[in-house]
Amino acid sequence: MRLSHPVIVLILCVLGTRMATAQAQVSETAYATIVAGAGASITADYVALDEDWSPEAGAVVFAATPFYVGRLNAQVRYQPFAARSAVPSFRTFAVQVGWDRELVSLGPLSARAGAAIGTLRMSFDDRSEPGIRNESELLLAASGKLLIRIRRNSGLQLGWTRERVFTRVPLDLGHWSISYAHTFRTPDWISRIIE
Amino acid sequence: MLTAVLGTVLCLGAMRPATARQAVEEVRAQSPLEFTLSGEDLRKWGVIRFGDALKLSPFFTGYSVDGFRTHGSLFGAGLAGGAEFRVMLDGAEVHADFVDGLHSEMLPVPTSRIARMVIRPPGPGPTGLASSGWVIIETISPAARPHAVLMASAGNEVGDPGPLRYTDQSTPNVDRDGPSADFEAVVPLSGLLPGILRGGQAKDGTLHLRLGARADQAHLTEAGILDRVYVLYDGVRKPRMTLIQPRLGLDWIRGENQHRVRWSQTNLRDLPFLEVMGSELPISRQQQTIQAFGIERRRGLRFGYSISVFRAEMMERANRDQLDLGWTRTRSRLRATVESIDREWLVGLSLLGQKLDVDGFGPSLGPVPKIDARWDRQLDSGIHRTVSGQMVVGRYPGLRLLPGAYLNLESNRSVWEWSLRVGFVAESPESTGPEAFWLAGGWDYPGVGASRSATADAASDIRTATLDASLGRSFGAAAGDSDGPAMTVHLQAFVRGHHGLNAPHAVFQPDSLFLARYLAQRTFGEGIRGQTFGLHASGSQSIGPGVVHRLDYTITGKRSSDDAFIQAASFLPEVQIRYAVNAEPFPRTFFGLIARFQSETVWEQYRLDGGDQPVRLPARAVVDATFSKQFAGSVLRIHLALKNLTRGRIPAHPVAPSQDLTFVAGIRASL
Repeated sequence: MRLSHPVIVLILCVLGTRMATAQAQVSETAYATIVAGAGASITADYVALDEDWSPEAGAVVFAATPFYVGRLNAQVRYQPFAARSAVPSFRTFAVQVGWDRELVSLGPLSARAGAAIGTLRMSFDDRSEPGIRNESELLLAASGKLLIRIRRNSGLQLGWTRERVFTRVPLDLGHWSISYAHTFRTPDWISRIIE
Repeated sequence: MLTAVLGTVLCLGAMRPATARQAVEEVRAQSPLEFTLSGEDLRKWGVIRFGDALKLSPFFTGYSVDGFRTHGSLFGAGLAGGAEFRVMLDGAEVHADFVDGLHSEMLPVPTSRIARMVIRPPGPGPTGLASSGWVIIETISPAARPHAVLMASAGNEVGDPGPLRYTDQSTPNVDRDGPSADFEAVVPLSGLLPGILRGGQAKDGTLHLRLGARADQAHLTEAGILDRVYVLYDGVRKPRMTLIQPRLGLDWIRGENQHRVRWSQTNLRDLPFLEVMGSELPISRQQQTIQAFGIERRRGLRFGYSISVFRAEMMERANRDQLDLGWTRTRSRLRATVESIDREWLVGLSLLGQKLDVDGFGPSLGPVPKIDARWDRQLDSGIHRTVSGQMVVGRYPGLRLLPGAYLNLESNRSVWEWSLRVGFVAESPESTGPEAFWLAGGWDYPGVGASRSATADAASDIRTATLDASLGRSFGAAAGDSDGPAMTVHLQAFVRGHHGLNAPHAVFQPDSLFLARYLAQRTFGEGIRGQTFGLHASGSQSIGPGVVHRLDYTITGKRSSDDAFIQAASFLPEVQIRYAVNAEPFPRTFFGLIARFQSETVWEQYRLDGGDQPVRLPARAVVDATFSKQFAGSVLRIHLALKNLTRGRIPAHPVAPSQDLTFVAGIRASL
């Protein structure tokens, strides 16, 4: 599925509306906890690249903290792409910051949706002279997460992210990830920084 | 995308209050005769370039051809061939004027430490009368402890090829924005240099050392620009401009008495677009500034002084065709003022000198004296009246008097308010230094790659008359009601009459023989005259504490029988609409959005390739959005900005690069 601009708009507006209606219950626990996690990711959708590259297993690390409404989060994803033709392989580092909110919670399961903005740094295995070794480009992302709580403070997070990278020919990438997530109380020194 | 923007605006509008009083104060403070940007506004948008700060104002209309020089008009005043707007920094006027006018990014402005920036229309200002408006900048006052601020940002325009560069879908890389950085440290010397402070008057004051620096880059990789500069750069395909600016200063402050010394040197390397040459040029510019200025209160009067030397040089760029424009100007300014304590009157005396080292330039220029005065009075009716005047003794081409006078009336701030500012000012070409002045004086500029086609017989005095009249109304909390939304609306009419504009009639025609460089045919006439006039309507409202939005609508007309005048005003669109939203819904978290629309502009001087038709730049809409968050109190701030969300790739000038969506990330650290 191609995630077109109107779909992103719709998601943003729905989230925005929910955000607005949730004003009355502004959280008093902003920044009180941190969820941090790490896991593996795979790229399942990479239409513009599939003729010349194939994705390999990647890794993702993330952190999130409650905001006044919803949650702020940051994520770094490493994703290599191996060449399938006479082109250089390359590695990507997606650095994103975003916001999400809980949509539904059923027992040990909770689902979240959100959006993020960031940059995708691409490092090419290009040995030519003069060659381009690195390039960065804007990316926007929509994401969904399903957290399965295993213990009181930890769980497994299944994540899905749809990214649009604003290269000349836009790259629409779909990623799946599975991560271990741990929740802990925000240390005072971190609270002082982020508040 | 527009839907997304509107959705975001609606969402922001629905957010809950955080800073109610601030929002009401922001609305209440709106004035039609000046626009104030607070340092906080600049930091929320992560502004490092002075030109970007100007663009945050609804009263600035302009463009940047090369990324670094922002040229334009304030309040509809300031046309090519006329005087540029004047810039004051902490009470002293600063310049960065070259043969092609003010180079805005070379001004020694420490953007990381701006406390506030006030933009005013033509008329009286701190150092006399200006025909093109004022930008008055105050920096943050030195504190008792050492303080340092670092701002840095970097951006990337979308549209790079990515991995597809290795496929048949390969495209060139596109422009980057920055990286840009500004740093300034202010260190109190009172404890370090007790010997100095023991004696004399300094024992009650504070002495601070300022150390600052700015570094910036602009990359110009648009195909049209690359074609024009290819032969100049010996095959270098990705030229970039580089700016380095070290600054040094001393501030001695004792209450109202302040004495300051400032030094700065700005180096800008590469690629300025010079109209006189019809192309970008591989040269470097250097601007040195040394100033000593201050205020001393004695015997019920306030005495002010400033001594300034500005040295501007256009130099060879090493290993790049050894192109030497042979142009160096050293300007010196002495100024002394006496002002009453209650600020009811002021008299100033200035002496403006310049030493030229310009190849072929014949006339010798003597010092130009100027006297200016201001008389403020609060009338019994509550009207604030200011009468200002100045007289300049012009020396070039002959001895004559150049007068100026302004009357300013403002009602007191109440539910209804009005203002009137009317006057005229005459300026000599030796002080404004237009291109015609250098050509008429015999400047022997090299014509590398282009035919020598620019000539001028004389440069005229520029006489400008302006009128600004406004009417405003406040509603709700802005009108004094205790609670509820606040709103102000203003309607302003303005007229600018120009006589003697030193603007050329020009034709820039792409020439395939020179790889699409523009050849110029330029003829400077005399007595160029014309008028610009317009209406400006604005409304500002707090739509919930912490959220303020503002709409500005400007209609500008121009009338002249001189083609040169029409060309000089070609960058002014008939219609401009600006809508801005500032929202601070949560503590230390800011969202901002500015949408700008401007109608088509017709550039008679620029012709389409192979034809006689002028370049028409279609109407364009640009939407910029920003988010910033402070960390560790006010120690750290990060900002993310998306510029040109609508991706309308229409340049603001025929030879300027068009900019696609650009993502900028930055940080400000304050220690």
